Amino acid sequence: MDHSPELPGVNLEEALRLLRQSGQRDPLADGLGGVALLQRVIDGLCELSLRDGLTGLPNRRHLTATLERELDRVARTGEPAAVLLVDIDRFKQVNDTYGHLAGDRVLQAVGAALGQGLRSMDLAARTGGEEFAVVLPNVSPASARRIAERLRERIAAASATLEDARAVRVTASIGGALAPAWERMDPERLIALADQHLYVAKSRGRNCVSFEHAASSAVTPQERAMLLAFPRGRRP
Amino acid sequence: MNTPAFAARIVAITSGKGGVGKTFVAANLAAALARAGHRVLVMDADLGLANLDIVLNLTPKETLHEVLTGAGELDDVILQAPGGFSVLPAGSGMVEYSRLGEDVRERLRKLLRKIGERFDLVLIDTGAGIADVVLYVNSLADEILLVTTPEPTALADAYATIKVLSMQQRRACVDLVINQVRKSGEGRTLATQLQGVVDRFLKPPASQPVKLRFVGELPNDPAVGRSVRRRALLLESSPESPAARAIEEIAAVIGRAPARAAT
Repeated sequence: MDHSPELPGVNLEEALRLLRQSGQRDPLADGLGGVALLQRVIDGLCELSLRDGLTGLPNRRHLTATLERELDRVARTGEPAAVLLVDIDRFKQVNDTYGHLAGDRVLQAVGAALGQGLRSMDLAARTGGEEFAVVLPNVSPASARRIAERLRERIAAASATLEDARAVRVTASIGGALAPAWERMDPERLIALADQHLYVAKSRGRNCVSFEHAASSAVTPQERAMLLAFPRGRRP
Repeated sequence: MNTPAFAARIVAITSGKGGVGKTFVAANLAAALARAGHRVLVMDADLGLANLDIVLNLTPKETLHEVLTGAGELDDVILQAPGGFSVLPAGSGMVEYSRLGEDVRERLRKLLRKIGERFDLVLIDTGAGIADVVLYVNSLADEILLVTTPEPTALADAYATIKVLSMQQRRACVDLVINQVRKSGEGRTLATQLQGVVDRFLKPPASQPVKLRFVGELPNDPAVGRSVRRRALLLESSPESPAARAIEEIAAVIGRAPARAAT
């Protein structure tokens, strides 16, 4: 008998089972009852609904909400942000060669590598099968690129240990896009841009990073040369 | 472009390089626009090195700083300049504005909206260059008026400003004033050449294509130096000088209509 007598007609059994399974603290163990118990269960379910069960990372829903909020901030404060799409290279081969359980371990290892390579304000999420996404708030184009490279290296260095103690290593390709300062960019557009660059990274041979060109607004030597080549002969 | 819709047209007068006559243009343009019947306010937003008050020989007791910190009322801070326009002065040496916090940004934005209700045209004298603060102030404006001289360094810096505005703020058009030209027609030629560089390098998706609107040139006129030293408006001290005439012409273009992105 799991549901509280103070909440007649409310069946919490399934919810409590889910929470226990997820590794969350059992609300009943804290002796909660009534509305407090209900609140704890709701909070727990919200938390569950934003997390990927396999890797423990935030899921796509969580990422979308974070990205929306972040892009609002970019438009308001002018501090640029970036989004990275991380896709494990030849993941299907892992599944085919070692089985799906091995695939799960690889996903967990990549998820852990992502989490370790980020700043505390960044958010990494598992957004689909072998696809991850990262939101980098308040980041310069150069650091966004640097972080992306670091993540790529960490993933390549990580390994998943199988039940028979064999180690499986994978690489990942990363596509990145920057949200320009002061602009309220549509999150889908930003993701689509990063996706284009993920495709570029894959077609370049994988295990590499491709970033949106809009990265630097510095005047290039070519532009400078053309500016300084303005004819001035007729001036006194 | 996420430009806020104020009642007044907000025009940022900016430059890539310092010392090209930005504040001089702002003050005299305001006088010419006021003379043409517009209700004009010039806001000194060169927060680090404000000097509009010096150019206009004003001695403000309170400044933008007091308004932003809540220590002063907007009505007490706005001064009447000799040329028939209003001025919102900024204090000089306000180091704390070298990087704007979100709270100050928010207050600036609200302040501008409030000012915008009472004027037809608000000219913002921004700082020079592409620092965060300058770019932020530019982002609050409906239109950008970029001042440069024909010097190669000034032109290169003007281009840097255009590039950043295009890439970071998706500006589709920028008004251009060339100051201190030595030969009539030099301004238009330089504007065309600058447009050539812009067209060649500022392309989607990285950049927004930018249409430069050449709104006029100011001749190298000794009357300008004299008026600056006397801390008087050129339009008042030497209204018949070639530079004063040129300012009037620029005011006529600006007063008529904002630039359009489409060619």
